[in-house]
Amino acid sequence: MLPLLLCATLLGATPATPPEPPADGSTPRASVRSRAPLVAGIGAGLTLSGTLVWLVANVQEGAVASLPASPAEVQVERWKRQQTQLGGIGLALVGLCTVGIAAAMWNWAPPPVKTVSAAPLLLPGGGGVALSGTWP
Amino acid sequence: MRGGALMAALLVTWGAPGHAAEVPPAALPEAAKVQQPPADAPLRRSYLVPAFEAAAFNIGLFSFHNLITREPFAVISWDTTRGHFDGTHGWTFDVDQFITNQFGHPYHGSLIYNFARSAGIPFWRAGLYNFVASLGWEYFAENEAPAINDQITTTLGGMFLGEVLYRTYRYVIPEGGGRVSPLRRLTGVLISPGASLNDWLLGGEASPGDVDSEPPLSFVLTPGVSLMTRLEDRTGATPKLLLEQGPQVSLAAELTYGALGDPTWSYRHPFSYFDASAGLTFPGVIMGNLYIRGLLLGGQYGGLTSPMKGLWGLFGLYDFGANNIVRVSSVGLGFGTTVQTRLGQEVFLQGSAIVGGLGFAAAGSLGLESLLVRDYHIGPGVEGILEAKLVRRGLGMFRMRAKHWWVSGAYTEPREGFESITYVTFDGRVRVARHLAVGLELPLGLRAYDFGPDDTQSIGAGGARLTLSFMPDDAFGVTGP
Repeated sequence: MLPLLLCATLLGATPATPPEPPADGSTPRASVRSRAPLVAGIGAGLTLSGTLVWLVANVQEGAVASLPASPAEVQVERWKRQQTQLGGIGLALVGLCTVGIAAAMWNWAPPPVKTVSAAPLLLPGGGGVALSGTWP
Repeated sequence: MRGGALMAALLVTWGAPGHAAEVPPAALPEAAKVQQPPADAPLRRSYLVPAFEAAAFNIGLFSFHNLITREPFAVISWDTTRGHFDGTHGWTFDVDQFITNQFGHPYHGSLIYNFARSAGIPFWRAGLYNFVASLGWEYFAENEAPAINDQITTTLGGMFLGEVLYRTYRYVIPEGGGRVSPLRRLTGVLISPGASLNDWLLGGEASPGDVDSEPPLSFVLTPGVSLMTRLEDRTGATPKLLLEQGPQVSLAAELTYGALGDPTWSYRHPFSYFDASAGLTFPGVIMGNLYIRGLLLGGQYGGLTSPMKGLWGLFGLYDFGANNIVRVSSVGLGFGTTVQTRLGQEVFLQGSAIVGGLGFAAAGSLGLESLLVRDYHIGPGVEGILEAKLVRRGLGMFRMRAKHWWVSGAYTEPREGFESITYVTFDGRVRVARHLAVGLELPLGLRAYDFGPDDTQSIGAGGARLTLSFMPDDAFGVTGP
């Protein structure tokens, strides 16, 4: 906390550039959607890596089981491989979550337009209310 | 000394363009104030992105524990998970390492919370992400029994610490995704990695709509020298020396967000006002603390022209302290007030009084297990905060801060006894140059603890510190005209 606050203090010396309003002729910033493939690629890479770790550790566990060692030693070695498998599965799931983020970015749409209006209608001998609206 | 001079030089320019400190709010034209977008205005948010991020973070941490650090608790199986649900290995209170439980879990929660906030989720709803993420961790990522205290500290402590970090981040990196300097960007990453990530992923377009721009801030950085720290066992008639620590380096910082006195600032959202302080003393017996309190629900009193301005209501409290005599940490809610009164042209009196209930608190000794019978209590408790500060703006200040915790031992066997811990600090500072003050701090402490009718002890502590304070404005924590 302290180093962070220290940094925040020192920032007082840094001229802050306020957020730039969109200006005609300026280079538009990359859209959220354009970054989604990169994030999806990272996610796919993590998923692939995690799956590989899982598979390799699985094969290793099988190999360890046939080692000429005492059952207790074999069990310890198997636990280590099983822990590696868990890590690999976790890494693969992190990749899937990252792909999910990419999907949400791909569908990052402009804020939905929601308007509702009501108008009273007064007519001779009666009346009414007109409702109109726009929903996504 | 050279570093100190550098800091002083940099702090001179605190009121950088774009911050409230540069132009007093009173000097702003009325039209400019009116044209500022309302805080509740433009909302773009994603509920899905932080959900994926929270899951990815938890699972990633789980994988780290399995692949890199090889933690035994991370070796889960169907049986361990089933045991968490069917009650054979059900909910309990754990007594893991103090820093892990009392700082690690809240910080973990703050990271999840910042994913949600920076994706545009409002304060209370963002807390749900903490709750669910912590629940998932307790059920699925550990083979140990799920811990009730971890669930409390990760959720509430994570929210309070996380909101402080998020609002500080937003002060450094404003909403909108504009261009900022690399130094600011780096600082933003350090303060809130999650918010930095989402600013990139979502192009700065997400906004929870409840973080006002240009908050009135009071910030003081206080390096110093702790001359001595002394602990005595005062159980018997004759005090017995437990520890005598010689000179140490001390670093401290205080941040008040939404500081009282600015007539244009309103407290419409949780943590529109918060007070955070942190300190570290080293080498030798390392002592650290982090205290946070923020207004969750409440109101303000004192009008535009009133000499008295204040806040009252429900405060969120998170404390982590490994101070002079003991370790103490708590998460809770408190009811109270904080007020600033103008006594003269440049003379102000500030004060705070809060009484809180603690859902979970832990207190124990500071590595003195070999000298003491037992070293901690965990359980529910109460907390009291009383502070008074007399300030002559531009000249100096005198302050008294008192905190008291009473923690029962209800959550662990034997379920008896209590810890009663009191810290009182007297603190005087005088301005000696622009943005620079020297001061003397006298921290005092008393710990009374009980493990049964015949086992009550008390430890007293005292110390002295020389301090050097850097302030951006020589106001000693007073804001406004």
